[in-house]
Amino acid sequence: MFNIHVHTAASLLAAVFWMTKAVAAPFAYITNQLDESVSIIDTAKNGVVHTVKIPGKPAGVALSADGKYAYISTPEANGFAVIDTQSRQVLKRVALGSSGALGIVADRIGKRLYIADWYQHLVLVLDGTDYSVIRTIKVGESPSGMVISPDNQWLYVANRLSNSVSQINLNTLSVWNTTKVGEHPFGLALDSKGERLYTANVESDDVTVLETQHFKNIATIKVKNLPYAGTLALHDTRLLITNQEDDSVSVIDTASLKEIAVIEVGDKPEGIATHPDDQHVYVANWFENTVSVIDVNTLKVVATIPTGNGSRAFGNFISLK
Amino acid sequence: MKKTTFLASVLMFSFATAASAHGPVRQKLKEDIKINAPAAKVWDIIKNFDDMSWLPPVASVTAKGGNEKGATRVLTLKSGGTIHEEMNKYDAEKMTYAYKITELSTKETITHNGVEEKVPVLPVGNYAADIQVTADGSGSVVSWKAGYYRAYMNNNPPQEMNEDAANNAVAAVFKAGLDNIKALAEK
Repeated sequence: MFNIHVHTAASLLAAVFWMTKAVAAPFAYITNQLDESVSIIDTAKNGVVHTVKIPGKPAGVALSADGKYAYISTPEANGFAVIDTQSRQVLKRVALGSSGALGIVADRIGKRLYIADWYQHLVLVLDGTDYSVIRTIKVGESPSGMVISPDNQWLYVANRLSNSVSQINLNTLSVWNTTKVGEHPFGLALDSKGERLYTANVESDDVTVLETQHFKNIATIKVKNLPYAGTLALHDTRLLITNQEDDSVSVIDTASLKEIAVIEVGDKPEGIATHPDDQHVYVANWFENTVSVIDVNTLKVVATIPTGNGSRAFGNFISLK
Repeated sequence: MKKTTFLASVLMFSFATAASAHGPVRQKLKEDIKINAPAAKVWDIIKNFDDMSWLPPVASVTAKGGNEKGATRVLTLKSGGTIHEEMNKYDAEKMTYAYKITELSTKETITHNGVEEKVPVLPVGNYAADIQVTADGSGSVVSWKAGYYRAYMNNNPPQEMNEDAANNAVAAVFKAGLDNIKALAEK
């Protein structure tokens, strides 16, 4: 309940900022893997305000719960980098010996950070303050996308090569349940109540819908070529999925579980995230080196922002504050 | 508890030593060519998925499914070897189609770090591409672009299967194809 209140307040504030174009808008952190940089987008201006150089082929993004830090996974640097969102400087680079560090997520209380290791089939549990490895959890093959439940009790991990999702209990730091989904799940999206989980399945061109209470597959929704990642908007009523090989975003009505629109975006869309106003969705276009901004009410692209080479932005890349 | 943590750290470190370096990063390439011929004429040359007579390294094609999504073709190369491809998307109005490689024959077998590795005839992995003709005044432009990984998906690739090998091989195919489309269209 507390989470929901905070969320609503944040949405209201964000909406006000959006309308008045106030200075303190949320920022989007876009990893440009081939450029080895992160473009910081001011969402009030829909333009890049700063570019941070980050070696190690940056790929994944997570924001700390308080919005003070952006965590960037750097597979070629075997770990991740920490950006101070105020100064926009790299505070720290952490090498973990994790050659497959890709998926990255921060918990909702500023205590821990989780990194999925693609090659070692592990989730690394890190202390959110000193970044030491507290635990490693064996999951399925090539874990990629991760999300944390709103109550901070569960971590969900897409195991790409095992065609499954692991549900990890964050109190015991152990795998609680595993369930089969479509072929090669990559990105995950979880609703704001933590009740429904959606997986974008790269190989089977569909989305698996799981209910989290019994961790059961309740529907499969066909989308377009090579679905990559997803995000929810308009009070969880819309699910937007990037279709990498179709240069489009599928819009799914979460009540009927049907695809209701397909929006053309830039070339090879990958990372996707929802603005805190809950009305706008940002999409990183890997081939085109841009970010498309979608108005979810009108289902139109309202802005296209040039970024850097190979924009991936895999993860929840928009700060709430 | 402390001991467990320590053990985990040691394990992590030993993993890192066994598999140093990093995971592959997806590569991309885009080539454009300006052609002094109308777009419709240029599109005619490349529009049939079962016709690769415009691509010099290809000796013959067997295909099924026409120009529909899901159509497949097998390219037999002049140098020997085969490439299996599948159509992802076809849009005659926009004069474009997209496809992916589903199978590559082996060009040679090499020994790398004591392990036999099969080098594919095109040293790439997960290759997806599209080709498009756009009008440009009285002429046109053909854009061919692809996203792919190097052929070696583990760490420390041999030079036959690294990023340079992949990029150079794709660039060579693109150049041969685009130059020939231009020659055929301007004839």
